Amino acid sequence: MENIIEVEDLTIAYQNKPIIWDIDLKIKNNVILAIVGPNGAGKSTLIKGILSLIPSLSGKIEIFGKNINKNKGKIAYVPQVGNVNWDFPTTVLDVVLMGRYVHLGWVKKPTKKDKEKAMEALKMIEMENFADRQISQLSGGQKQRVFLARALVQEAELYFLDEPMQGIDIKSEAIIFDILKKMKSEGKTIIVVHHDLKTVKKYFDSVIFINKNIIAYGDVETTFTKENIDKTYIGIQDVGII
Amino acid sequence: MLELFKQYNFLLVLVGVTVFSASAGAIGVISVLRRQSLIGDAISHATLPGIVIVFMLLQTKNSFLFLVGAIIAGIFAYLLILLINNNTKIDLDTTLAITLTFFFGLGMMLLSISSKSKNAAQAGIQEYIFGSAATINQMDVIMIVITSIIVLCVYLFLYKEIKIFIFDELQAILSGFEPKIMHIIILISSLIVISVGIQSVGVILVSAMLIGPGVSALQWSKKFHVVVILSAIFGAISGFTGVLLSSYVDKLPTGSTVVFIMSIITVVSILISRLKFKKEK
Repeated sequence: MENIIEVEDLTIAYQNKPIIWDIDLKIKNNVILAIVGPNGAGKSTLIKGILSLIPSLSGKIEIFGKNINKNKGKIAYVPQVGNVNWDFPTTVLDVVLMGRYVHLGWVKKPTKKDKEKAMEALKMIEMENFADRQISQLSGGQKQRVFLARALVQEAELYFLDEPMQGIDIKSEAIIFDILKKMKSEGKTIIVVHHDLKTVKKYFDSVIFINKNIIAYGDVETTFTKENIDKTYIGIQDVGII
Repeated sequence: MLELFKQYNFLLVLVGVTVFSASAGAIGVISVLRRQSLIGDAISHATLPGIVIVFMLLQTKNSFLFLVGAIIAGIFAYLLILLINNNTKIDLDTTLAITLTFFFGLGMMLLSISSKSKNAAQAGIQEYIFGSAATINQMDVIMIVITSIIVLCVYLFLYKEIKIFIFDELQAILSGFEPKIMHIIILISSLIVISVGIQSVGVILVSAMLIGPGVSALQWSKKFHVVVILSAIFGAISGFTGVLLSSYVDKLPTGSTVVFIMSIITVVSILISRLKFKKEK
């Protein structure tokens, strides 16, 4: 299998404090990958760094063999729910439609076809009845599903999700992972910042352990071991595992 | 009453202030939703030294040149805010307070120096602090109309870009809508609106016309396009009634009356929205 992401020597600092350093990483095509590590280990920073959403001190990143800017539309990103402005006065359908913007470019308005695609995505996340609902009225799990729908209509190849399971209900979790599984079977690559070590084996086929730098990376079967967990969560009692 | 409407000067003031207030309301929604209302306040105070410097250097009272001076000073203030914000750990609030007082202090200082010079025309400049709607002339109204058309075009052509920029800036980057470009477009649009408005409302109160209508409109609707339109309408209503009221009541200053009416609309909107909210609960 070919590598679709190649990261060399990535170091990112915030206000002169390094968050992650010397990251070398090659991510294979068509995997469903969990990024795990303790709080403050730099999980979100890693994916934001790969996507060049935050400045880095050093590092070379190639996605699909090219610079990220040449891959617009092929990459979808689902932020942490708290990172956007939920007071913005708009509807669920409108947020999902935003996933189509990348294919429209400047000035052009979404077409009927775009709206149909957005409605289809809403059906997939079982929220078609919420199309006209105010986004401020959604629960945490519903917000997360709406984000996933927005990523779906982007029709990307590569998906990044930042803690999609944070504070969500069981139903939402099941819906989201069903869709992620389906996406993988369609040849997509899915990279998820994940908090819950208990569900790594259930949902993922690959795993990255990170704590400031990469501790281990590989298939879940061979890499998701007690030894690697201990190395990553060093000094942290009761991580509630396996 | 009809007599008043037949006076050309009165009509100029009425149209000028109303159209300005509508466009200020419309463009101000963006910074209200981005929770950056005070940036507009800092920038509008910063336009004062720009105007005074233009006057000192060119000894003119040409409102177009004042507009240019105001815009340049506003951009300076904005860059200073960014510089401090990106390179220090000082809070944005504090940065804004520093910038606002620095530029406004500078403006007052320069104003005082220039008023000691022999040119008597500076009398007109002092009016920029509190505004003097009566001095609006035909050229000012034309500039106000042009800036309003620019604001309208920004919304017509960049509606979806504005939405994604406010809601989720990272998604805007990944979708190819460089936030820097959006920042510049919105900054320039706000600045030209501020600059044409300070003549009537004054540098101190002009930001109220950017913030008030947006806050009011958000109490009434949860649809972005409705909020923008409502915001323009609230602005226009306060501009229109403010001019009318101040021309009926002796010694009532136009600019502050407009801002005062806007504030009443805002308070009433918030109260009604709270009452509705309680009922729903």
